[in-house]
Amino acid sequence: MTSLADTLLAAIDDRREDLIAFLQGFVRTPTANPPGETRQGAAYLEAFLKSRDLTYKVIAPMPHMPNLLAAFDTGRPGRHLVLNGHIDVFPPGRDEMWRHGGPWSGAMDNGRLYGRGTADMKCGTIASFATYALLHEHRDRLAGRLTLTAVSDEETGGKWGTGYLFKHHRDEVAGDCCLNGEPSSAHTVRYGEKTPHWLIFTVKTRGAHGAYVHMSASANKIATRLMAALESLTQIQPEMPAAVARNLADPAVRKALDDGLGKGAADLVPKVSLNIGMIDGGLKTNMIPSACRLEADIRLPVGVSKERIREAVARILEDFPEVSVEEASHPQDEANWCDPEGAMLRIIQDAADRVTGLRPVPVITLAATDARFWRLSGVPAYIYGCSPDLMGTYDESVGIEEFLNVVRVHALSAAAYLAPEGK
Amino acid sequence: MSSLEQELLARLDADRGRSIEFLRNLLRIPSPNPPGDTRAAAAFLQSALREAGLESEMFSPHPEMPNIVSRFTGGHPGRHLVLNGHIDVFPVAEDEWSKDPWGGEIADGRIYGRGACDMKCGLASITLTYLHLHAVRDRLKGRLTYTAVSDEETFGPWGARWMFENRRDLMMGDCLLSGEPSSPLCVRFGEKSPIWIAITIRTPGGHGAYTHTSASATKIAGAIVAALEEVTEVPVRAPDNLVAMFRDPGIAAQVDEGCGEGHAGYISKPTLNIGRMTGGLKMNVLPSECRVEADIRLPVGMTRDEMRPVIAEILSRFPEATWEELSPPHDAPNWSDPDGEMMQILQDTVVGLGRRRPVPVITLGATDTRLWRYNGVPAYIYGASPETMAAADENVLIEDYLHILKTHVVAAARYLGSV
Repeated sequence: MTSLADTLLAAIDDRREDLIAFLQGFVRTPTANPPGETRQGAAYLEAFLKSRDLTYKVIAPMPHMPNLLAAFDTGRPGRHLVLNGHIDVFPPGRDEMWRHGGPWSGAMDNGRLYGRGTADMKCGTIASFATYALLHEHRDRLAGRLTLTAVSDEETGGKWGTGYLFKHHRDEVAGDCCLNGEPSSAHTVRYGEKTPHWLIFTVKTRGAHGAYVHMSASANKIATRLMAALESLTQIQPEMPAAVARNLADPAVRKALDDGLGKGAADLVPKVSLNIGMIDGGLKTNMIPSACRLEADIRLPVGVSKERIREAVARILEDFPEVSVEEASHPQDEANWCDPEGAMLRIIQDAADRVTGLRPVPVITLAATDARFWRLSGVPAYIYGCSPDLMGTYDESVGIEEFLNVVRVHALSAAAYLAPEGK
Repeated sequence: MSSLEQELLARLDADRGRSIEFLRNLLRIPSPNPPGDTRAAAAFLQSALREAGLESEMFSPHPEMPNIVSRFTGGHPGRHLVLNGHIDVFPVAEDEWSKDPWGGEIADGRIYGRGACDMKCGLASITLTYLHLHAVRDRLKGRLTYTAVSDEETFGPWGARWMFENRRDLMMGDCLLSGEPSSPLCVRFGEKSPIWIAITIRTPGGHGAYTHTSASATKIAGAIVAALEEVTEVPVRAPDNLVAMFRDPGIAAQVDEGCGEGHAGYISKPTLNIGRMTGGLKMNVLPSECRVEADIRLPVGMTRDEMRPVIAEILSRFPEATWEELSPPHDAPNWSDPDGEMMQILQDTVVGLGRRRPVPVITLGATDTRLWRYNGVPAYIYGASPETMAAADENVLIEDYLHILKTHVVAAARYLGSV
């Protein structure tokens, strides 16, 4: 009998044009967030499930941001794998800037499919749906349970999407492992991520005429001193778990990070980074400014908790009585990771190796995804998807063969994870 | 006090309520600069002149920034005094005010509003001075010119600068009296000079999480702001008579009392203000651009050519930065005779009105009076306390305003002389 992997790969080849059309139709359905109206996008995915007689639930705490939840049980004891993707995408920007017929064209050119969300992450979400349908066809050769989740509200924080599912349907969606098709590139599997800690500082002083420097402290000068003081945050040493430390020391991992994210990325992953994204102080050249606003984007690595950074910031602010601070990021989020040497990681590496000839290395990344909800609940979650290079740009696109490879790797990985004992 | 001066003071006492309302109404007409549109306030002033039967000429080289000039000749030959004030005021950060910045509210013996001290108080005072002296012009000697200009707060080209460049004949006289803030305890006879620079920092920029991919324009701006503090250490050589004056502990103490603790110490030192700092697009974007506007003040005894290379050297350490000067390139610290006649008239007048003798002071800020000094006309300033200048809840004590008005009226009459 042909192995299940061979069967799945052959099925994908047979349905190649259908799969491309499935992705293209999804790209042609606008789901920009903000504003976050994703009902059409959800309806498109529902039609796919219905056409295959696959049952599902619509969970919509916000009427215009539906989430889809489908699951089947093989009837054999085994592990529970959850597939997760999001329906919403970045806003399209200015239509006229797109070179391939606008943000929702789904145009194909030179082996690539163009449009907002092709990379982040309609390619990955379609891979999850294709995987779910394929494995359902072959459920008699699998053990355990497979769950499919497609959520809205990922781009704006997940409160009404994956966050809501974890709060109200935790038993259905937590599972034993999560596989997600967010962009990763064929060179890496993402097993963890830093977390953003966004702080807005407001400096208030009396203000005065600019020549009368004896009349008031300067909000701008205080803000620049604060900027300098905040740099000390980047020296905080993380309490790095041993497995993560081993991973980050691996030359192959360091090379993949530097190749993928630019030279220096490997050094930055285990460090607190500080970006002063915005500064705005003063009204006029010749007035001593009475207010200055500083927006800091701090990224916490694995091993530095939000609580620890809050304490460090509070200590710095003891020297700045004119400064108040508020947090703009989600207070509960933390840098998160799962086992970089775990079973699913090796499964994905093997599958990718077979499909693409590249063995992706496990990396921690700088961007935040819904995978954190699983990891912060103690469930391993791995990301394997297309290249992130063009996400969010006016040329956002995915290579057609690249997309099909993501489908292949997801289908093989899911099947291997749910393989019955002894197979 | 001469009988004419006593008659004028009696009129002012009788007019007390109207004088207060005049200032309040002027404060209720917004004229912030930027943007600098002063048309409504100028129309208000012009109509006050017209009601008194006085012609005035309006010059609007910039359509939104009119300048008003009016003059009359007394009944007898004599000297020519020029009064000057500006119509524009600083902008307002509304949320920092507890009072309506354009309300002219009265509370605790003070009148509140943007411009209450800088310088609608002084502008109202010189306007009313001009009207009161006009009423007795037959008994006065000489000539009195009234100038109310726009575009002062940014040292823009459309106010007094334009008038001097294009109608110098209307601006010149034998002496200039201004109602800019000075504090009733001080008479200002000179001023420091500003160098304003705009620095632009450009870097490639990137994603906020990828801090390894680009230098940060905002962080470089922070380093530049710290380095620029070096300009305050540049040594200065001031004229010996002025140095001696400001070392006099009695004068220094009264200057600090009138102009704020620490004022006297900054008269002979360069200062640095970072007036504006703006950079970045969004919290999670690594900023590719930041702009810093610095306001450096040169003390008497220092030239721009001494300061420019210092600034250039500091900024040369930051290859991502370019800079330009925003202030008029030829301004310099300037002063009139600290023992000049108008100084003594103002001091004696104030004493005659029962207040403490004001001390001569060099102001830290710059005003349009510099233009008269550059043209050889002695120029003196007597006006409100600068305490709340440019700050939220700017205000003037009602009694100070009325005192300044009396001082202007009597000093102007005394300078011109009467028969």
